[in-house]
Amino acid sequence: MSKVIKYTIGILAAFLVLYLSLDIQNLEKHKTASGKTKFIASEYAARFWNDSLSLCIANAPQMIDLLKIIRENPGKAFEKYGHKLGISKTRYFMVRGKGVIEKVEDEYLVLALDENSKIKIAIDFIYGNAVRDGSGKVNVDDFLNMTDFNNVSVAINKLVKEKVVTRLVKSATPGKLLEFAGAMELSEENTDLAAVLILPVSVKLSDGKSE
Amino acid sequence: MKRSLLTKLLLILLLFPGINGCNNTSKKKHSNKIAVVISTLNNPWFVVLGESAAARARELGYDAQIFDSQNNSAKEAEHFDNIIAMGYDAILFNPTDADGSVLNVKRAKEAGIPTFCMDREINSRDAATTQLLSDSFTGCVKLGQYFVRQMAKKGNYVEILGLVGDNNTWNRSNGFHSVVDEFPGLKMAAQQSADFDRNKAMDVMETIMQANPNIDAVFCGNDAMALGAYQAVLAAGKTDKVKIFGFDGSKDAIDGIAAGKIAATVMQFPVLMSRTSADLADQYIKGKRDFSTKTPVEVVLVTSENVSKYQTEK
Repeated sequence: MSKVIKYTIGILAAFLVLYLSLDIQNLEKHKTASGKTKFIASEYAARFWNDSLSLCIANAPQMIDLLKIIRENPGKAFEKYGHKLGISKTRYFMVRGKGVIEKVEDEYLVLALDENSKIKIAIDFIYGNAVRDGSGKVNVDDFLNMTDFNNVSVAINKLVKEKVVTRLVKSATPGKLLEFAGAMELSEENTDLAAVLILPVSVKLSDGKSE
Repeated sequence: MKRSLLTKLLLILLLFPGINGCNNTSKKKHSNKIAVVISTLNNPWFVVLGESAAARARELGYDAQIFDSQNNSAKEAEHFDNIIAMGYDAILFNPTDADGSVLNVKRAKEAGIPTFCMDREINSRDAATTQLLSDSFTGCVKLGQYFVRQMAKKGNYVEILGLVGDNNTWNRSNGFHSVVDEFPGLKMAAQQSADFDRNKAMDVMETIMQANPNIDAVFCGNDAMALGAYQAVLAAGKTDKVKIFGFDGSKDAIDGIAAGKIAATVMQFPVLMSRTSADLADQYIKGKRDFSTKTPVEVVLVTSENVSKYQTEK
């Protein structure tokens, strides 16, 4: 074999070794992967609100139906409609429905769905992960750390207050009809529905006569 | 001539693992040993975490050894050097520092040793095989709401933080403040670290109360510090005035709630976390590879209303 062929093979082998020893990445992708790009929870929450929430609401069970299933067979309700995060006994649900406002308390509205079913809509303490986790659209594995993941809940809850609760508090009075969508949490260990508070993500008030 | 060239090419392939697709993980022989690296054994909560992990690993048939990092990242790096050199099968890891510990976990990964983080988080999506984490932020959101209601939305309070380099410290603090800061009647008179240490918390609280005599409550990043703060409040004769809030769900804090000394805590489940981590390591060693990057573990708010349930259960 001629020297030229030997050198060519040698150079190719050296090039191959050098090439396989390097890992060339897109700088922006590398920064994202290594967490150097700052995560902005408010932007993520705005995208969630604009792009994902309407589909979650459309797919949510009617509250009155969910209440019936929870009373009769909680396990089925948890399995079919609930979302769980990690190792937990709490399930999160998206729900929708309508009812007549019976009372306006400091922390919640009491809403009568029918003669036997009353629920509470939160208007003061808008906290927790019910909307984030009830939606089933936000995956913890997509976040660098729990701080970013939890800041999403804070940002979503802020939108709930700004876009929904503030307006609701101003207009809600007993006797009005409220059409709503929202999120709630329920423990597998305690299915007492009297304590459940629904965080509203969409509300429509009317005088109760036009509906 | 042809044989000589072929020999050279084979030598190149053997000398450069990058070409022949050598994979540390697949070629590694099992040593049947699991390392349990704990941030500090100077705190009973972490002793439970470490011993439960080691006990579960032994139940599963492994030799398990506990390494104490003494809250020192250099010490932790030394442990990883030894663990890598000794060829352990897996590491059950409670990190000292969310950023500083990432490199250790990456070194172990490169050596073909999977790491399973317990309780404390590292800031990386791909270094650890998985991370089982107490959902501290959410726990403190629950605690914050209880705090606001107990304080009737007004008063002066102190916050005693844990280790400032630990994500859990800030997850707890940020969760608490995400609620409490929205109530302008609640004023934080002082915020200071006591490194999750009971004695330091007592000293910190004594000093703060001297400068701020009108304190109504103290929120501590763990129960050890809450009990230290209680001692300072007791010494000042203000147990009727100052409400104390902790985090962890330690036996002493649960007893303190039942006795009316502590207002509330958030219960974590270290035994569940450590045993599950050992189970996941066992599954990895036996071939499983599809793990969720993070698994939050729910925590529970314990107050005088539900403390009886937790006095016997843990």
